[in-house]
Amino acid sequence: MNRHSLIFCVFTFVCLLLSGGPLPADDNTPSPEPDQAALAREKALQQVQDELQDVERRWYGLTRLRVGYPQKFSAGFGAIFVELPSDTDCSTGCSLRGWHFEVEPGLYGVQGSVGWGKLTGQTGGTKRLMHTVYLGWAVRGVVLRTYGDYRITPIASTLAGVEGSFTIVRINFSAGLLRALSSDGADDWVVTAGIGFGF
Amino acid sequence: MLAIAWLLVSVPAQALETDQFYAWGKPIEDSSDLLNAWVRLTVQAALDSKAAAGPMECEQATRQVKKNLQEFIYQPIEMWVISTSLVDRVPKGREEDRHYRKNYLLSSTVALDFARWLQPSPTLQVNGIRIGSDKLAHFFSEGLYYYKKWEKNRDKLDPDELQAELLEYGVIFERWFQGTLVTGVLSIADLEANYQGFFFYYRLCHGDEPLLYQHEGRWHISDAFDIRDYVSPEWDESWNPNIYSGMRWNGIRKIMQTYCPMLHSPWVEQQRAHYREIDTRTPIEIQVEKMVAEGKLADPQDFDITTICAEMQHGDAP
Repeated sequence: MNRHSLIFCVFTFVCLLLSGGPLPADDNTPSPEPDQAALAREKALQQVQDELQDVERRWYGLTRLRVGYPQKFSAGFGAIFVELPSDTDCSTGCSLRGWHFEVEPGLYGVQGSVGWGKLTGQTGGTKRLMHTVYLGWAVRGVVLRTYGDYRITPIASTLAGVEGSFTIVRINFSAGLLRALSSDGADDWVVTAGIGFGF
Repeated sequence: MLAIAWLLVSVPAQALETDQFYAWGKPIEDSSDLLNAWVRLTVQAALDSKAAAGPMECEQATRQVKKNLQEFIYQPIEMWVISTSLVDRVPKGREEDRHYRKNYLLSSTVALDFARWLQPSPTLQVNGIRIGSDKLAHFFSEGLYYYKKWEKNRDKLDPDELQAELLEYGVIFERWFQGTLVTGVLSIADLEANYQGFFFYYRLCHGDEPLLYQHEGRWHISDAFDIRDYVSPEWDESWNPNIYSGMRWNGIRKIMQTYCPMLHSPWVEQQRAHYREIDTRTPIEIQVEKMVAEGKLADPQDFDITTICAEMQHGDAP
């Protein structure tokens, strides 16, 4: 390269630089600096996608204290089985939906139930006990065995039916319609109802 | 039955309260990209569902989207925010949450205070702005109610009347069902989030570039959705003061005063300078000012931290 050519090249380079025009190397090669914002967006999308797809099966304990008819006072214990992203931490709150069961011995009967429900609650430090339910509902198939000397209906000692349960800010409302499995001919339909705490 | 009815009416969609003062000076990583990702994936999941398989208009697609974004009382986005490890927030985890419950603005009340039966919402950061996670719930839940109201009335009212009606509707909702009646707190920041939520639902099918578009017979959400377009300093309750009922205010004031020494700390001053720089006058502010002038609302400025701290300095505090 002769001197004039060199001066011309340097002049062209400086002109391009000052005018903000592309440097020759930019014509065909991508920008060496990737778009950081786009990268962050993609990374976040991948992270959330991975989290939502990485699900596992879990169970959470359920409890209920209730005053109602015909059991009078009862305490229920059970569990709900759910599928959740494995990253989910329910200690300060989460939403669950799934099949669950509950066994509820009471003063004048014991009730067993299986159903499907949905709830929002928290386990606190217990990890697996959903001790605070802020909102939840469930539909359950119920079998109730009465006992004791509670002298009002049902006369029949074993009943089966359906119960609806609704919890809002920890307060649980429940109502059911049960039919006697063995009856002595008296009215064999029983409406159950209760109010308490839990799910 | 009365008890159920009362609880259903008074445990509102978003009675959850929040406290951005508590997060002052505490570092929080920005969650904008994560929230955008969650929204895009959640909306797309709704659009990819079997229910959305057939040919449909954009408005019908919006109804599918709604199924994944809005639920009764507890909104999916807020439940995700408080249970995921991805979104940074204050408080995060059980121990911090316990401390928060003992010290947040509403903590100085009697044990049977209904508002405290619900968990308070944590603070997260979007585009440098601190917001309670409840605002995201407002955005997707009440935003949809606003949108439905707009859909119902768009042919009957002119745009100004419609806007006034939407805002009034929001104030009534916040006053009776979501705030004052239940928790003694009327949050102007909630109203701002509601109103922005309306624009989100509106933009799904309307505007120059709707967020929903069709490709090979299926609906998709555009990656143009960005939560940053909606969030403003007005969503931060330490900047945009709430209106409190008389009973509630006594306890709140006591706790708010404890933040006065921090008001002139470099962190808070920097945050407030940044807010001042980007804050704009919103339709909600105009509506609130109008209602204050008409005597329909108490002046939120009476509950602002700067007012409280100035009163304290001058010995006006009770």
